[in-house]
Amino acid sequence: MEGRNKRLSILLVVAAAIAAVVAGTAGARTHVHALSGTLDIYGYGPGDDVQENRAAYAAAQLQGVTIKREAPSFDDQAFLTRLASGDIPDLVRMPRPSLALYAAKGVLQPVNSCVTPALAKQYRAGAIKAMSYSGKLYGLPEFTNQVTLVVNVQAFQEAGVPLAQAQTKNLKQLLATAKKLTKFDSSGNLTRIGFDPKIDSGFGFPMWVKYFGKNIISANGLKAQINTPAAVKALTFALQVINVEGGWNKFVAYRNTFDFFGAQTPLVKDQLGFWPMESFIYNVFANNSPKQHIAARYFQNQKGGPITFFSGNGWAIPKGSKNFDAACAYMKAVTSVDAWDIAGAKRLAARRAANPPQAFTGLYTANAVADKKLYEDVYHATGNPDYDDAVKFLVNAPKYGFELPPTPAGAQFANAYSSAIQRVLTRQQTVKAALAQAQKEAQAAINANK
Amino acid sequence: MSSVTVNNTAPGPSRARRWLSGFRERETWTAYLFIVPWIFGFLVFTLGPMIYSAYYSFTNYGVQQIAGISPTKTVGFDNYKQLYNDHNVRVALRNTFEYGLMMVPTKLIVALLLAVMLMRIGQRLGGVFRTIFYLPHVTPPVAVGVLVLYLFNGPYGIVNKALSHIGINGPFWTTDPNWIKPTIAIMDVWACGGTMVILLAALYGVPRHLYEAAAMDGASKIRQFFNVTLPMISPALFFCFIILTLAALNQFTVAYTSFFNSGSGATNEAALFYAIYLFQQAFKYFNMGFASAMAWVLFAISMLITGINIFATKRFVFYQSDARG
Repeated sequence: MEGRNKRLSILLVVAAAIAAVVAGTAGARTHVHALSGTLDIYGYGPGDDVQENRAAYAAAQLQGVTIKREAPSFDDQAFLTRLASGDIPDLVRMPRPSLALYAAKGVLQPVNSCVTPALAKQYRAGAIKAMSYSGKLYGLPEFTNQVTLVVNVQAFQEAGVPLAQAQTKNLKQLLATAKKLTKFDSSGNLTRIGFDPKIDSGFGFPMWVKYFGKNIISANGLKAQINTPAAVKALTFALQVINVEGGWNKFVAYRNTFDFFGAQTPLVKDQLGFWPMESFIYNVFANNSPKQHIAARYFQNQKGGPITFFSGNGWAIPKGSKNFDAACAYMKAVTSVDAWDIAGAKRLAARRAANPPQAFTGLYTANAVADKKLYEDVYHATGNPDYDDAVKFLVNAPKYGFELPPTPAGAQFANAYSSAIQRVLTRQQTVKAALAQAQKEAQAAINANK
Repeated sequence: MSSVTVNNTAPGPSRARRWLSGFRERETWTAYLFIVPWIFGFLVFTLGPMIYSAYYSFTNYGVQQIAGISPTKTVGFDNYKQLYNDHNVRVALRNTFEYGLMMVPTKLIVALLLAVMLMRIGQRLGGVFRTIFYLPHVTPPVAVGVLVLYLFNGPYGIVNKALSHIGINGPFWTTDPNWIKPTIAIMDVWACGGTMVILLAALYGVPRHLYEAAAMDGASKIRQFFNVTLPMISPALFFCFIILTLAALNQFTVAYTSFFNSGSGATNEAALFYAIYLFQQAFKYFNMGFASAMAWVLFAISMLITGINIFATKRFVFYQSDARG
């Protein structure tokens, strides 16, 4: 009897083991798809070394899939033409502000089925929000371009202004600093702008409104908040700054002479005191004008807390994609920690091997884990203390980042407030009237597209 | 001597019959063969899209319809009503008309003066200057748009620097809303070579004996210009006037490149021409139905202005064929 029981027990254990193996295999089959076929990617054609190295990494993860990458960058018209003709790309890379428009119109499909919440947590929360619409995730974010204050140290020294006054917390002091740093020639023409609030840039207005504690659009992207008291204060202050610097006409005419990307940067020519700017500029200045003293500071809100604005591209899968699994796998691979790590290491090596060697000020992605790894494992101090200090700021800046919630009004929303800002700067309308008109236009655009 | 009476009132073959009878000739077939590619292009690339846009102007055609996600629905006159109530349409129309009023007469006068000057200097020198004056006409409008920002950039641009040498403190051409349209008009006038060549050809066509007769009658050079030259080249002037008016209504590239392509999203309302707003509605916001309605309104305005011009200038345009009877 005992022997029989023992045999039965062994049989049951073996049966259970076989069942577990079979179940495990079956389970694995439901999660791991053999990827094959063609993956037609739009908006991610041949690019710089970082793009190519990440693309090579992603392609290596998708063995058996034929990858097509043709168009160099996203173009709305070309994308729509492809949709209209039925030539739907399987995967697309587009600016994050465009995403909501296409998501709202049903052109894109949610990716919640293939991006687990755990994976989504790797990415910056603000950027993930920008990739979401109506509670669903529509893709994965790529880069982030955080905004910090770029300070021309030489200008501060020359004007006898302590560097501590390169701040935005105290507006009265900021206005005074802007005035002290601003220089005119004998004809009354500007020779240096003290502080450029960048109110007319893509990030300027949202960031200045955030300074006063508000967003220019509701969290769900369906309510414009362009004429709030915070928005009025933001634009009024920017106008005040520009007015003490000679007024918009003089200001913009002088600014249009700047060469940000050549050898004669505004630092070399001492044309600009300090200003908020996206992170890519440090890389440009580190290579084009490395001898000029520069400092990075946080853009602070009125309570002194750092804030930064994110922008960048994102990956999404159009409805009608013929290879959803491969598209999602590629999207995850190309924005993965390993892809960024490899691209960063190769860029560092290439910069060091260049003659003369070039500075590498890091890569700033929407993947927080990748950013940490890049800084800890790949990044090496450039040897230029100004830029090494700036990198420390940039690495920490994303913690304070925010991004505009996606709105189905797309470009119409941004155009409404950009036009209002122009009308104010060119003295065609008062701040209140311009923002009230923009609010009306933006809300009408949202209502028409939601 | 018998006389033959011709009955002038007898009806001839109808126009349609005459047209059909033309096909008996081999030359007619050859002529049509030569113009078939144009007719094909016109039907496929002009008339077809026009008919489609007329249809779309009464629909909700947009992103979803382009992508085939939802069907195109007719919305009656909604797009036209929206157009009527749109503040930016009014701004764009006002800008376009103001710009046209500045550009058309100035360009016509400058082109005419240059053509007259070229007539007066010798053939060899005339050829050199003709080439110089014509060059801006072949400069791509996108390049002109970029040039505008460099040349007219307040105190830092070449134009104001030159003006300062003669004691003039130039305006902020590209940033002051009052000067933006004149700036674009100036760049357009600078590229008047095409108009100048047409007028020059017309000037060459004026019979010399008319001047000799006028001179014998004691007419001064100025009197000759107004009483002989202008009437004789009036068909060419009228043609240029119509073409320039239509060009003004369609101003796009220079203004767009200069004021709407900064990438910052910032726009200057003073440069918002009708064609730019139409482009934005169609290809930035994808309100294709609305943009189609805008296109048809522009077409109607163009036709109306051309019709008024034809009617109003009837008395001033002199066709030699009319004189021959």
